[in-house]
Amino acid sequence: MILGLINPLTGTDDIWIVGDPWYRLIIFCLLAALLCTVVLGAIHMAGNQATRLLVMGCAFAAGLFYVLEFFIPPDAKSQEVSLWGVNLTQMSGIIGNANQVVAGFTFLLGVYNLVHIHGNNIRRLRKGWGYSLSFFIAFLAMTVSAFARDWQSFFDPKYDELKNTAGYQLWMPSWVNDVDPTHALMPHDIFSVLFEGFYRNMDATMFSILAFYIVSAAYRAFRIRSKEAAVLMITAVIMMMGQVPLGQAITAAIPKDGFWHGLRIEEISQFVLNTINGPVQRAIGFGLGLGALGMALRIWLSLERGTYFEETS
Amino acid sequence: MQPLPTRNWEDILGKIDRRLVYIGLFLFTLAPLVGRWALPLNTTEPTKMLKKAFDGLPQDKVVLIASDWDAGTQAESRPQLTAVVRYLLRKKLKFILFSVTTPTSPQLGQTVVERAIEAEGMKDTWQYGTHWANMGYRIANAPWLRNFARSIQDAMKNDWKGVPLAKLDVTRGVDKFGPEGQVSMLVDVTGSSSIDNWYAYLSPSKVTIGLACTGVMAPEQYPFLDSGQLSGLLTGMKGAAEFEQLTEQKGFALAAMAGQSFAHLYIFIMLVLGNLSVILGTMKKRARG
Amino acid sequence: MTQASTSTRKRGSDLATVEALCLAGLLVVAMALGWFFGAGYWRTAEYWSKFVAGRAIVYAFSAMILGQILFARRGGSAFIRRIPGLTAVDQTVGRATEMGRPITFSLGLGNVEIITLQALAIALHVIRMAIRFGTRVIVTCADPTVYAIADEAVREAFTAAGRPESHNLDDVRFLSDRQFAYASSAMGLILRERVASNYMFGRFFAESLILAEAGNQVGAIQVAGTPIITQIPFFVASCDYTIIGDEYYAATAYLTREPVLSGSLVGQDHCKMLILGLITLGVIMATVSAGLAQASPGLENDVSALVSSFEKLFTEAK
Repeated sequence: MILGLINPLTGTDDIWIVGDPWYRLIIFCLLAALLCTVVLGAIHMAGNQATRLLVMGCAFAAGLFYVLEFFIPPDAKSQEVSLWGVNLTQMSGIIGNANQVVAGFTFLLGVYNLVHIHGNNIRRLRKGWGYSLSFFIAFLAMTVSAFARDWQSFFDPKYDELKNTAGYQLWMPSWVNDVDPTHALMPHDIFSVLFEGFYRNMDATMFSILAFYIVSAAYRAFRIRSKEAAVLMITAVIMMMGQVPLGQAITAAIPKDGFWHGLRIEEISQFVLNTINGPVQRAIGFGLGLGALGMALRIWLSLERGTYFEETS
Repeated sequence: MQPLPTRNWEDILGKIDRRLVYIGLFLFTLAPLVGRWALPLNTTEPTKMLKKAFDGLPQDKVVLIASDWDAGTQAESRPQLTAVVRYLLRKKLKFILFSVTTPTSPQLGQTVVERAIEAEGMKDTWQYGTHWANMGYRIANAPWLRNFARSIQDAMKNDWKGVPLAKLDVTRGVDKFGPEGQVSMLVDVTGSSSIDNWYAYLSPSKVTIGLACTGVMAPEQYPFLDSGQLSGLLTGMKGAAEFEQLTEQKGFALAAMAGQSFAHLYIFIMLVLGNLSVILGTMKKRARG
Repeated sequence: MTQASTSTRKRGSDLATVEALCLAGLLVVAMALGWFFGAGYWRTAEYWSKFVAGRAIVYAFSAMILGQILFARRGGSAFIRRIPGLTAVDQTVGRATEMGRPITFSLGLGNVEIITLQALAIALHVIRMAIRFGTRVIVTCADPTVYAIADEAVREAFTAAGRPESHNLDDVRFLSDRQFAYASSAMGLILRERVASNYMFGRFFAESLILAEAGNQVGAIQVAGTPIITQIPFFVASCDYTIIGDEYYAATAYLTREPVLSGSLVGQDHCKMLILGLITLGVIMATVSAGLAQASPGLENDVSALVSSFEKLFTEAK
């Protein structure tokens, strides 16, 4: 009974649909709200030391769930982990969804932060306030056009099925919501113009800027001022030229199947990738994995002294 | 009147204005594209391995394509996905598209597949739902990934337009990975680190995994190629071009490789110029004693 | 190895060893319980290679790290070699103070995960130092949840330093959760504010060079660190200091010199020794197996079965 009450329910659970007592979900929600209120109230009202202990306790409890879910070997057939009748694997899905919900709410905080900063820039006419204005124009244009286009699909469950049939009333004109199947690849509506025409190309442009920056960074940084720098530059040149036809042409005279084929630039670059780069990547990977494990343990057990849990002396 | 500062070769070569450097790159990349210069290309082993992996796939199973790229990496990812899809079409292998990285990926993937079907002249014979499908975007948190590895039907439930998997011929009954399952291979066309998910969750099922990633990501993947967790790899646009050449496609990547080639040459020239300034400087210092 | 040798101290080491042994004992007891009281499949080799071995290895690593943390808490100490990028923190804050310009700290594209939390820990260290000199640090985030946490952590840092009134709400900024929108926004910020120092710690992808070049254009001192190995070359080419590989996770230990964190590093090094041992064992077994296949074909099957069981421990773990 108690387990049933604390076991979370979601709208898609079969047990709920086939006539589980309606009050179970409400009791569950109330209990959850009560628990949150108690914990938050305690954190705010308690003294520094008690607050710290409470936060440490919450961090430990939250982490313990995933620790148990990971370390307990699962059932061989279902591959799900259970502990005293509670299916931890299924519950982790629900907790994952809860995390997404929390993340969704924090998105509002992010938007608030953007509006606050850019609003202030415009209000005080700070240097570059025009950019802040362009933020508001872009933000509103994308939001309004996307909502206007999809509005009908939120309320009419048969929208997707019927949108192209004659006689079906569309709420928005075609320049807001173009459902013409011949325009499937590029709808002629305002959102597509903004998304396909502006956003995608601006995104790709930002990525392409990288190419220019790589050249200027390489030109500035790859100068042979020491032995190490020489090794770095020679390897970079081999890799670069080994990857493209023009570079490969340098050693094209060496027969592919001959004794000296290993001296072809593409062969050398593959050797560097496979034999030198591969093991190095693995070694760094081991170190990083263990570093992440150490950090995770420290955060879980509130041992990250000097940064999160205690002011350094 | 102050005399104008004299600039020697060391300074001229060593401190070229970055805007001039950018213009140079632009011209070096543009010229071969406008002139449609074609260059011969060597095919590397990882690309051959991917083709070999496709060639060994059974007709009665499906290929899952994780289309995990967005507009940012489209220069590399789009030709890769196009080349892979066109080859699958030629081999008459059914495939299912899905995305876990960005919500915009499914639309981009859909467009690429539709255009590839058109390019292969299979518009009337290769139908959505029967031969291929798009599952849309899923948030790949750990529970979902574990579920996905255990049961595709359970994790996916419906396609990107909300049609249940049981109603689509291509997805009906597709549930498990690996030799005993209905999915013969997973190919990840990605501009991010989504492949790590498949190593962790799908490798134990022994499903064949292929990867088409951006050029920057490739060095990190070689250990997996070596260990057999990866059955083939396309490295950036070069990988797409090699695959096009290997499978005799006339695609965008092969045409664009000349531009990339000349861009590399340009970087090489810039490196030489930068280092010439260092050498000249050192010589001058030595001469002064 | 990132962190070099430990100078062992007797004090407290006995107790820590006992505690570490207790952790290991717990694993053995748990496994034995599973063996005797678990379902029938517990007694199959396939189940152990698939579901038990991998977990046992991670547990062993965790126990080794925790064991060393416990040892360090009881007085053990560790030597951490110099990490140039982190010794530059004083220099970067000092320079910003002299020039009267702000510092930017980018937390990368990660969500709330270990990489980002480590980046935030480093950011807090820089911010605490900057508060003392009255220098502004602008923290930029690409994830709204990270923004919420960073905002709270920075606020607390100001309160703990006794200067809550100096905390500027606009100094922790959520820019965008789209990669290149974030990059362009952070780049604009660096150029407009003409920052004196630029920090980039966290999960970075293609935007790494965009940010680093922006910092370079305004002549900022740049310190960067990321566990995303593919981005290291870009940082090396355009930053003054780059934190490479597992130095990233050693950063807080280096900056704070807290024994707990140093102990964790030593534990990680011990784990690496174990991995090295396992690799060596694997190499020897594979070599012997290959050699025997040629020398005495009779023995080949037994040895190759042993080698494949060993391999399965690492390839089939779920």
